[in-house]
Amino acid sequence: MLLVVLVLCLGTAVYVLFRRRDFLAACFLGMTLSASIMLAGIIVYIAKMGGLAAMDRTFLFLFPSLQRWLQFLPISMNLLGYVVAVGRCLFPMFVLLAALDVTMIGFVRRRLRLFRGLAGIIPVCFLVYYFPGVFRPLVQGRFWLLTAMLPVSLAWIVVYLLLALVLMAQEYLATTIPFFKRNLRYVLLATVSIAALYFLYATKDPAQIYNMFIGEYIRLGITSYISPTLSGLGWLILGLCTAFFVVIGSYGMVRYVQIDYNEDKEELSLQRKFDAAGLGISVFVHGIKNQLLSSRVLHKKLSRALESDPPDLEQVRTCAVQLRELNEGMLGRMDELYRTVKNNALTLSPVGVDQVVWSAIRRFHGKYPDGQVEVHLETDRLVLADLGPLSEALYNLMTNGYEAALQASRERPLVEVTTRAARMWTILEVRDNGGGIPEENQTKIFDPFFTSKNTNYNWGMGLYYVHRIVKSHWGRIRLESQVGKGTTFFVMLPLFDAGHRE
Amino acid sequence: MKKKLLALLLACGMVFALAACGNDTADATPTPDATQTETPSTETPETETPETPTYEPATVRVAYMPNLGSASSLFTAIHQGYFEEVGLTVEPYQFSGGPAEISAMGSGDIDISQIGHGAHSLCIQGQAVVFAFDQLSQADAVVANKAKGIETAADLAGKTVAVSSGTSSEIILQFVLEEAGLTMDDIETVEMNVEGMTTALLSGQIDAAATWSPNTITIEQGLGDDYLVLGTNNDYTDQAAFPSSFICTPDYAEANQDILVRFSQAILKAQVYRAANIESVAETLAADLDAPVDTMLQSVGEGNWQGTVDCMGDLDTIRGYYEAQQQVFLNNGTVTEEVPVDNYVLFDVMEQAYTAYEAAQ
Repeated sequence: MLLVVLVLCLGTAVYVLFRRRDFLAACFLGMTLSASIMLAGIIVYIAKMGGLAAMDRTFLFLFPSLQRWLQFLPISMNLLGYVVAVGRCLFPMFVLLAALDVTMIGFVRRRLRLFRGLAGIIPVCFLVYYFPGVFRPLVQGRFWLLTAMLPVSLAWIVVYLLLALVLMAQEYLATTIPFFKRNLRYVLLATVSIAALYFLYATKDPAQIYNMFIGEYIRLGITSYISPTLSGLGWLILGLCTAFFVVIGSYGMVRYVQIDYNEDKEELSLQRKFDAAGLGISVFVHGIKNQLLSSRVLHKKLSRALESDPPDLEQVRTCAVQLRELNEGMLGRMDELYRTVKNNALTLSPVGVDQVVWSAIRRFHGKYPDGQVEVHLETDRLVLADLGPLSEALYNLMTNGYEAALQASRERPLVEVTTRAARMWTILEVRDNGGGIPEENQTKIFDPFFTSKNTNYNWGMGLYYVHRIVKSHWGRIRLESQVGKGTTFFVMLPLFDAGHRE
Repeated sequence: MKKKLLALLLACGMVFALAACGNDTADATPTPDATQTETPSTETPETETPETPTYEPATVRVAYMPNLGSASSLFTAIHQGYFEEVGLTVEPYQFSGGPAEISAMGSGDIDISQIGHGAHSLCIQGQAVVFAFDQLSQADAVVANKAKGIETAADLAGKTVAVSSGTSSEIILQFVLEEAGLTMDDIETVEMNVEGMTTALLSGQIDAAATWSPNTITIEQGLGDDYLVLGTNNDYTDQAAFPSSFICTPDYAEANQDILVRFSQAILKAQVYRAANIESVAETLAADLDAPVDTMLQSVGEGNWQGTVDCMGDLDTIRGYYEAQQQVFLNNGTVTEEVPVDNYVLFDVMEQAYTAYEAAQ
């Protein structure tokens, strides 16, 4: 069963690497691979040596014939011992590298390469120490060295694992975005369960496989690999937990990558849709035609008023006002469309995130002077932004939210704007108490020309524009919505100054 | 019924074992039951028919290696019910070699080990004590593949030889090399477990191996005419003795002397049975170890079974074996200082066991 668990873990780790293709996935694979190598080596050793541990045949070997095959495997004890030593030395390194990759502590991130290098030094030293060609001549006749090295070789492993655990746990506790927190929890659980499986045997010294000094091991009270480490039930629980958490953790990691993956896909599909533009042109033509028809009606009214004797000046004035409004409206929408499709050249500079919010609120009140906005500024961080377009985008989200609340006939239509600092992201949150967005529409709302409103007055470019602006700021936009309760948009902008303290 | 009885014995044994573990000093003396029945019976064996002794049930975990030399007396005593007669429940655990057994004994996983010659060095060094002599081994052999250009021991120079450190076969290899004017430095040694070296020799990955029965038989069958024996225990009986024994940790011996006596008593009885019925013992053992019957039958010559019976109760002869054995370790440097044999061989247990055995007869 242990073999099945190992194969399952390895398979999942390879899949994760294939999907993510990044450093964290590589560390995850390294972790699983090194733990598997160590455990596989120990399984072979137990098969060869027999003893009480070998009594758990089904758990260790699945079939008795496999044990027999392993027992007769012509592999030298030096090689076997070194394989186990390699797995034992590399696992803590990969765990620590993964933790370094996950952590957002500014001090560490600024010196990431240095810390990665440092993480590799001790394992490499011990790989040299355990190399049979070095180890045998070194220890033979100098058993005091063995006595001295045994606790050291365990101590650094414990320190590495604890350090990694602390870094990951700290990151988990500091993460506030639910989506990231959930994924990190899976990754953390997977890491902890593999580490537990690893640690069961990591306390034992791999050099015992070289078969040089069993007597010394007994004197030092070090247990042999062939001693049973856990009861059958304990093994079963640990094995199942590891398999479960590794699969869940991998799912979490793959989901984590899917944000990027989906966004790329989204981008492609938006581009395609906009390029094809068939829909856009038809909406545009339809909108313009309606406006021109309205204009023709007004012109007719105007002609009739002028032709009467005396001319109906009151009617002429009314028509003029209506024509002006129509013209202004058309110009406004033309501007909006033009602004959306033209290549936006943004000028990014560090601005306070609160400035962005206040600027958006000013615009919002320009349109809805009585609209209620609740503001919660939880951070004074700077973001790298072009104030105009970004506050325009935020304003768009606010008006959308407010209009949704009006449309849902809320007693107290409300928009809440919150700014939050979440590790490497600065978050602008816009929450409304509107009718919510049905799930089937959630993937479409960022499409150009998608609108649930009257196309005469709205061409569905608002959220497409918001999306483009946020992307131009290297940001991300996500939404959570419940039909009947409201919608929250999260605009996540990368942290401008990693050293900036709260 | 038998199963129920076994379960009951096991349960009682566990209680006893727990009591023994929890209070080493208080329970260090043998149980009154056993001493009371044994002592008078030794004093008046001829005049009175002793009552059937009653024993405190106990369970012992025993390590053995899967060959006739190591497992035959143990399994004979199990199958013939000799352990039951002395109130012992024995749980046998298979190990590949003596060092692994000792290591498991050191960590408290097992109570008693049947070890070959090689692991006795750890007894001399004080890691364990010998409480029963099993037999003089003839199982070890240095074998080679002629197809690799080896005709004599001298041809081993520069060849790859598999060895399992700390075993008696390693010592035979040292003897073979010494005779040919070579040392371990003249050959390329590869540390392997005995089954691994069997496969490696048959597949041509190594040139020779210091191995033991029944692997020697598997190799002989596999290599055919290319099979070459360069030396066995029998070639060096003038220089060394290779006793195999039952051992335990000094702590266990101190706390459970009564169990050791009862265990040895059953083993003595099994050794007599073994010497008289070695072929049927081999057949039964083949079934126990899930090994081919033919191979097991071919290895009936690997021990001096009758020799064991002949020296029963002759503690001077047995002492001589252990002294000769220590000399081997002193000669090859495994042991640097001579240690009195009485320090690690419990002759008192051997004597009591023999007396009890005689009385029971």
